[in-house]
Order: sequence, then structure tokens, then C-alpha cells
Amino acid sequence: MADATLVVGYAETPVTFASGRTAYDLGGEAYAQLLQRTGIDQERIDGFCATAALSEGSNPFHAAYMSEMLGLEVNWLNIASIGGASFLQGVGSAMQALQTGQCEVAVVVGADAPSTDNLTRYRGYRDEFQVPTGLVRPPGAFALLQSAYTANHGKPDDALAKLVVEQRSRALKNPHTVEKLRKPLTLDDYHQSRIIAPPLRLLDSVMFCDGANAVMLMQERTASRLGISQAVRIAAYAERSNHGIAQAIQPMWHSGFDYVGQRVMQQSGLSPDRIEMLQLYDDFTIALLLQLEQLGFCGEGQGRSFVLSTDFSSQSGLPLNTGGGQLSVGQPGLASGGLTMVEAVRQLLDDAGDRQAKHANNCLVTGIGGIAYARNWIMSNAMVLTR
Amino acid sequence: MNSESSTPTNLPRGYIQTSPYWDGLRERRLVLQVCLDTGRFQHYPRPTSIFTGSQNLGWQEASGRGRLVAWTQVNKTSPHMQGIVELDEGVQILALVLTANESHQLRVGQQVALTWPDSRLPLTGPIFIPTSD
Repeated sequence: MADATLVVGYAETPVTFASGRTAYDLGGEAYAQLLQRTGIDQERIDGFCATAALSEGSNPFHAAYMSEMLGLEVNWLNIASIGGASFLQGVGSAMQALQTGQCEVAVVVGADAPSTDNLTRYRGYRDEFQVPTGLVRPPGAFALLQSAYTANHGKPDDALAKLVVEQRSRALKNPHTVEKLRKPLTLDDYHQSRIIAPPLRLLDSVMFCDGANAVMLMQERTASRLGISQAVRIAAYAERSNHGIAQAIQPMWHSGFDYVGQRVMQQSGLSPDRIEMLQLYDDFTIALLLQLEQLGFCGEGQGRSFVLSTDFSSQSGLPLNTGGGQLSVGQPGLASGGLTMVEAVRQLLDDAGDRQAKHANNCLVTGIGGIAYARNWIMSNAMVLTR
Repeated sequence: MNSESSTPTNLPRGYIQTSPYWDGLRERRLVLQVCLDTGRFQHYPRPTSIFTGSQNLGWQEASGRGRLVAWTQVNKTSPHMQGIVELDEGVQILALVLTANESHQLRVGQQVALTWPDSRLPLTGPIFIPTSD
């Protein structure tokens, strides 16, 4: 096999609510932790990517400022700016920069603090054609998605309840879980949860929080030169944005995950039945159901029965969101994609302590980014990691 | 979501040249952008055709009839629901939707048509109402 790209280290801060801190402060904490954990000298880092931050929304130079703040002299500098897909996309771009030799040691930092500050102004068509309808925040858009899906495939509520309750129980074992969400949930709690935009319930939706995460990447040959043996291999990455945008009208719940799923399976030589762990982007419960269908774990419209009949616990053959997912850990804004990625790396390095899942040889990680006009999300992306 | 008003009166205008759409609403007509290369409608309006990439674009009045493909309500205190309407012209539009009466609930798949409120207040966008059960 050709010189593979490796993830050689990870770091993350606890997820907090209204911390009063900035993305720079949180990102710095994750970065320092990453250096300490990998034992890599700062001077070796020659590639850097930060995810955009809602809390720094008015500054298009955010990643440049963060690299300067950290004192990094780099040959590759990038901002990943597609919402919840950003972190995974940053890792995918870092992989290309490493493979073409633009840099040798790359760091990707996700950091955001939208529960302290949210300075975004989306402008463009949104202010003129979407905001006047009242559809301003993500729950409205995902409610429409769930409405369309439900009308065609039936109510998936009992499956969504199962996902919410099980993820919460995993989050209770995660020391990084935000304080506000540290209480167990029952299926009844879900069904009695307040409807915030029908058919969407409060417990179907994430909560904006503050937090940061980071990973370090390098090629296999660099790792062996530096004497690094603990690493996870990137076996595949794919993304698709604006799925079907110029095609004839299609079901609005369709997304780029059909393509992305096939592509990462092809690249990694795997198939859905050979995937041994899932860290799926879970800003809303319906997104989990759609990904399971579109990535090929079950057929279209079969998400509910697949979820109800599948054991996703940490000792099962298909553990899902072993850290609790952002639904229950809290969503650190646009750093939320780092939450799934970091948990995948931690698990594959057998580093998860008392929430360590059954031995898995690989893990499928996903991201979702951007809300589109009257359609499904903008970007779908996925990565396969292997031991 | 409760702090959101569904009927702002100070609308931002013109992220590109969109005045035919807003002029149409003032005259109680739904005027949408059309790609003159393909004859296909697109909404929201764009600087280029999403089908060909050209700027050979025009404006045409839509029938205002369509089918409700999704709905929600982000503000319980407002009589308006939010919906996605698939117009007979083959384009999907985000819009406000009203129910026929207070006890009525919207249903995905229902036929809908434009309705124009009597008020002289500026419209923030088209409003649809079911024409079938």
C-alpha cells in the first residue's frame, strides 16, 4: 500500500455552556494538549487548518489569526468553513497537502464558542428569501426535512427516542459532556419533550455550546522517522455538496450521502456490513436516520426498523456515537465535526477508558454542513479510519 | 424559536437584481426567475442559471398552484406555518402557509394555491393556502 496518511494524535476540551471564552482561547487549550500528548515539537508543524467559528463570525481571517497567535510558521494554511462538515473537510484537505508534500506535519483545530458569542450574519439570498418566512435557525429547516420524510415513510419517533436515550447514557460516561446535559433520559422523557417546530422536539435538537478539539496528521514515512507508533490510518475521504441541485425535483431528504457512502466504501475496499464502528454527525436525530439509510446500512425508508432492531451499544458489532454524540455532549458550534472525529481516533487507539468499545478495526466518521434553501443540507462528507 | 417574527416589515432588498420578484408581490403576482436557455424556473433568484451557468435569465409569472411537500411552525403565536411548496412550474419555494381554519391541520401532499391578504402592508413573500383536504 502507498504511503498512507495517519492521524497521530487528538485532543479536546470539555464542552461548556456560555463559558465566556473565545475560540482562540479554547483552540489554544486543545492545541497545547495535542502537542503534549503527541510529544511533537511545535517547530515540526508546517501545516495548519482551523475551522471557521460562529463566535468569530465577522472575521474572514480567523484561521490566519489563529495560526499567527499560536506562533506557527507553516507551508500550508487553510480555513474549513462548511459548518458541521468543516472539521472532517479540514482533515481531508490536510491529507491532500501531506500527500502532495506541501507540508509534513499538519494540525487541524476546531474551536468555537457560540453559546458565548454568535456573530454570524449570513446575508446573501437568506436575508431576502428565507429569513422573512421565519426560518432563521436550524430547527426550522430540520423540522421541514423531518416533515417531508415522515409523510413518505411514516413516523420514526420510537427510533429517534431510542437514539436519544442511548446516546444520553453514553454521554453520562464522557467527562467532556456539558454540565446541563448530565442527566439520564427515558423513552418517556423523549415522547414528552416539547415540540419546538412540529414534528421536531427539543430532544431532537442539539444545544449550542463552547469547546475545541484538534488532531495531528502526517504521512506514514514521517511517523516512522519520528518514531511514532500509535496512529490511526485514513482509508478514505469523500464529500459532496449541493446534491442534485440542478436535477428535476427529488425528495428533499435525499442528500450527498448516497454518493459519499459508495465512494468511501470503494476507496477503503469495505462495505457497510464490514464497518465496525460509527461516529455519525448528529445535530438532529433525523440526520442519523437519513445517514444510516443513505450510507447503505439499510434501505430508504428502513431507518426506523433498522434502528429499532440494531444494537448500537459499545459492546455490539456496530457501536454508534460512543461518546454520546453532540446531541448529548453538547454542540461546540462549528467545532462539532471534531467531536465525532476525535472520538473515532480515541476509540481506535484503545484510549477511551471505561467507555472503550469492543475492538473495532475501522470506523466510519461523517459530517454535515450548511442549510440549503428548501432542500437538504449543503455538504455531506465521510471518512473511513482503520487501525 | 419563539423570538422569531414571521412577518418582518423592513426587508433587505436586492442581494442581486431581484426587483421583478418584489414588484410582482406588490401587484399580487408571483413572478419568478426563469432560465431562458432551458425554459426552467429557478427560485430563489440567482445571478446565473443553475442549469447552464449563463446569464440568459428572465422573469415570468408562475401559476401559484402547487403541492405542499413539507411544513412546520416555528412560532406558535403566529397564524402562519412555514412550508415548502412544489409549484406546478417544477420549482420548490419556501413560503408562509395558512390553514383554512383554526382546527385544520396541514398535510403534506395537499394541493395549495396563492392567497393574498387584504392588508396594504408590504408582503414578505408569497402565502399559500390549501385547496384540497
